[in-house]
Amino acid sequence: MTTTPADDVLGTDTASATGGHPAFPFGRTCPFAPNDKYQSFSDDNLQKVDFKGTPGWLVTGYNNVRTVLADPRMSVRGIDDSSRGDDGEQAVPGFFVAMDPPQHDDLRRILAKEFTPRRMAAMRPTIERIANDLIDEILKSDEPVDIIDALALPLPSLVICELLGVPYDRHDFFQERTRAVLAAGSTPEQVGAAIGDVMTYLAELVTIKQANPGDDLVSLLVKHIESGDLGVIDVAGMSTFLLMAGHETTGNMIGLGLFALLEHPDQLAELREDPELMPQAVEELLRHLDIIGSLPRTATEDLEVEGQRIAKGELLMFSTEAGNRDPSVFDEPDRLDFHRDASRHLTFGHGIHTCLGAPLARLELQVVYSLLLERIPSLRLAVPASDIKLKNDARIFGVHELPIMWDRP
Amino acid sequence: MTTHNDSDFDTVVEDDEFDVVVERIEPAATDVKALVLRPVTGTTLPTWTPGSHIDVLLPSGTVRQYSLCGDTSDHDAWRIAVLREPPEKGRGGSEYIHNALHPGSKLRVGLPRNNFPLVESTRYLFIAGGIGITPILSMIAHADKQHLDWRLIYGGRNAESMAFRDELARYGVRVEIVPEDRTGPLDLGHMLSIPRSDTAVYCCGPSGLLQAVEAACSSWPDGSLHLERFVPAPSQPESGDTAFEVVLAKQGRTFVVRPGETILRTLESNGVDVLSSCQQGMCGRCEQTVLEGTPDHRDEILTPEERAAGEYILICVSRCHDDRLVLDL
Repeated sequence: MTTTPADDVLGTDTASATGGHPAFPFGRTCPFAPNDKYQSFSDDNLQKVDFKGTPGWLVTGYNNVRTVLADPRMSVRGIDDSSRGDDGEQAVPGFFVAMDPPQHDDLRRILAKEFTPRRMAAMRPTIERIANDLIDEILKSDEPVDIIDALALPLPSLVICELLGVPYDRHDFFQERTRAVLAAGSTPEQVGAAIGDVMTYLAELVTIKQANPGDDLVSLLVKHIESGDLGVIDVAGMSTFLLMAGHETTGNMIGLGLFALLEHPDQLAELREDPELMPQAVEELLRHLDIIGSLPRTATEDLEVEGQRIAKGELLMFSTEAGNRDPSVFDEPDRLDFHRDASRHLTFGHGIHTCLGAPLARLELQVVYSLLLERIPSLRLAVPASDIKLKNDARIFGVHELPIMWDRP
Repeated sequence: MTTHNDSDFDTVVEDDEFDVVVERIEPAATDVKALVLRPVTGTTLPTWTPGSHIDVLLPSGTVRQYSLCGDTSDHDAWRIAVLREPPEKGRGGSEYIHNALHPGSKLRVGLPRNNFPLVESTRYLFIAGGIGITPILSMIAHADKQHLDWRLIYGGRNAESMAFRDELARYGVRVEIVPEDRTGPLDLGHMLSIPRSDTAVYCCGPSGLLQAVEAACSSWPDGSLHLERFVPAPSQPESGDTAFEVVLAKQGRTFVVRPGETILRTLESNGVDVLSSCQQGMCGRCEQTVLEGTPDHRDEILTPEERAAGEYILICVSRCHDDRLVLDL
């Protein structure tokens, strides 16, 4: 742990009103490591935490997180998490992240073919073009440049827009609306309104594509409307979900990963010396940083985890960030090491809700970091690392701003 | 002036086996999918009578029978409902239908046959258990249209597992839905204790139900009771579910993948380090390269060309048509 934040946004009490369980998620003081509070948790003696007022069992061991997350008795229903689109009663149409089988499978199956590693590889030239255009603009600007605003957030947003077939002139609109969904300060009404705005536009886009199909994902989904598989609202919902899911996650990871690279100069040097190391380095950054950090589930039946009985209906919090630091699986887990094989990390989850966009996210990260190292080799922070503000106020961790500078020729 | 439909000029299928197109697949209940099948353009579907079934001929060579449960007067659409059987039961066919078919898929089927015809009667008692509702649905529609006296008692494990409850609701009090988890098992005593000579009893469902109904009808007039048994699961696993060897070429290790086990689970339980994620053939993380052997693809993501080429396999769900599969692992 090398830095502390300038303003500690973790003013919350550790004990909540519901029987003294520690509030969860814990938030971070160091940007690159899970909170020290995890040290008092062990799967040998499962304990509860307070997730937004609901007590839930915290699972932290790699094997348990991996195995129980994929257990068919885990449901994503009944969880208070409006960033997934829920109004509490039913999942928003198309938001299969918040559905159980069979509805989940029916929707995911439609997209699964398009998001395989091999299919996504065809996006590389598009991603390179977008990244290069953004870097061109950066290089023309006065320093310092906030690379979050200039590259990290726009890139995934533009990539998803291309994938879906959304015109670029609606890009600012989407970025602002998805930020509203993910900021922890937003009320459920504000979140609902933001999601509604995006879905309304995408329903409009669906009718445009019905008349004029293109070689994009919305046009593909429109075919399923014609065959009676899906309604317009499902397609609008699925497109909204993809846009939201692929945007701030990847954007935050680009920013935080770059911050980590700059703060670990020895690993950065290894990467400069051997660019072939990039895919492996990206996996290690994903393991080490895990910006989502934990995944909630409810039990549909009684079950047992490490001898602890869990009753039907209870909440479980699976800490992927703790599992990613399990010393029985990853040697010296707190060390950022681009030479280790981190491919078994839990950052994209496990089981039926495994991140659909993982192949795309990996590709975007590889392309962005490679191009930055190549085109701005002298890139460095323009402020002290301790000045960087951490996003403990949103569902997905990252940094608010990352001002950078570089040597002009 | 009469107007002609396009279908008036279409030819009725007469071959023993023919293709239909899957128009849509909808969940009808937990583990049950309803398929609407359309004729290939230029043809209409053969006529059928309540109680009929069709053979569905699957690519692996297995043949399954499914009752037609749509509208007998619709020559442009057939409906069947398929219960997903667990793979350990060795049938395999329902897995294919549940996982590999999409709207637009072609399905090879046979002409309708009827081993469970609806006899003429002034009164009917229909008893259905679980997926056994499928041949009964068109019988009810017929009896209702003819304004005959009929009742249905429909039992199942729980409401969510019972298909077509919503459709049956339109018949009002003639239909009694009995989910076991709420109302207990079917009470055959009160229905069948007094034999009648004017009532035809039709029953379809699990063998336990059929046996109980047979016993309860033992004192009824001969010929009152009509049963349809769905073909029981064969005791031998299907050709798609036999054991095979998986060889890890780089590691020089060989394992046996038993029916009901996946390649992934076999490797993991033997301490082999392999990547996987979704566990259901949808994400590609477990993909391996095939050096020898013909994969039996059961995933959702390989294209038809990739499947035919046989170079890749998703080990979390797919198997092998041959005795031996060699992976570049």
